[in-house]
Amino acid sequence: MAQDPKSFGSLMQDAYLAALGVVPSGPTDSAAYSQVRLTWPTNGQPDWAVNEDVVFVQAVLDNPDIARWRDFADEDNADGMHVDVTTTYTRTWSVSFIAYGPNSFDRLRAFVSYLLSDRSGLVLEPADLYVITDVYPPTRVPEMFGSQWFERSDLTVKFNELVQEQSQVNAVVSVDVTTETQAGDADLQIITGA
Amino acid sequence: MINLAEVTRLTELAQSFSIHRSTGRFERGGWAETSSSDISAVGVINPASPRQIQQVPEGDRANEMVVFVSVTPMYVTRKSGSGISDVLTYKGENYRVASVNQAGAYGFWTAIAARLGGQ
Repeated sequence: MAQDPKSFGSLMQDAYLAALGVVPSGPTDSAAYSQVRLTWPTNGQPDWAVNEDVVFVQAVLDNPDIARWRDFADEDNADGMHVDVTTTYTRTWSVSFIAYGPNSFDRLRAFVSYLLSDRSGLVLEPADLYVITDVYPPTRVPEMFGSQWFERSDLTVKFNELVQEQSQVNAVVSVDVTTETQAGDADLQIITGA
Repeated sequence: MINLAEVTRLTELAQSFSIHRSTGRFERGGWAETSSSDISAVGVINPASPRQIQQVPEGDRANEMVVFVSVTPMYVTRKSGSGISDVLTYKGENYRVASVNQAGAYGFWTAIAARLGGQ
């Protein structure tokens, strides 16, 4: 299992809303999910008002040493013709939470506290995600837009993800072994698989 | 004040195009279209900038801006999550509305639209 930027963004929506104590009525609860918006929509999306508290999630992969390790496990497939290979490794997401609105700074504070608590595991662990607890505090960076200052705070959090990839290779079903003496006498043996 | 709406409908000047209007909402997974409609319209259509190619290593990309003048309202992305900019289809090409000048007092709307790439 591996997250892609879209599914990862959805999980971040779940986590952020849980940190705020917001329980969406369902996946189409616009009042809830409009507070946590994903970036780079293909056809664009509406913006937000100066007094509206919204956060934007931008997730990219980081490049730590641990992401280079690979663990391989082989298992015979029941059909006897293939071997199932499971490749397991850790990769690291670097996620920017760009929060706007009058409560943006305090919302990020609450989110960090949530991530560093056991509660975050309820959302993250089923998706094999684990927060790296070395979290730098939110930075307040108000932004000028439309002749007024939008309150803004930024936060970057890193998450380790356990990734498992499944693949299949052909198994050796049988091998023909021919032995031949110097006198020219040949003997064929067919060795079948396990 | 003179109502100039008739000018946009003159058979000598007007051409037909369609307006694709969509509304949506924020959901788990991001912005999602919830409904859409296609509206037939007529108006005066002129280039705002010529079609020109941008040559990048990956290939040639064509850009173009077009002005649509019509009595049918055209919208850019609205506030509060109701909808995103209209997409105008003219001679098989799609253009997203980038700006709208609502000259309601004169009886028509003017939209400047950018050609959608990759279609």
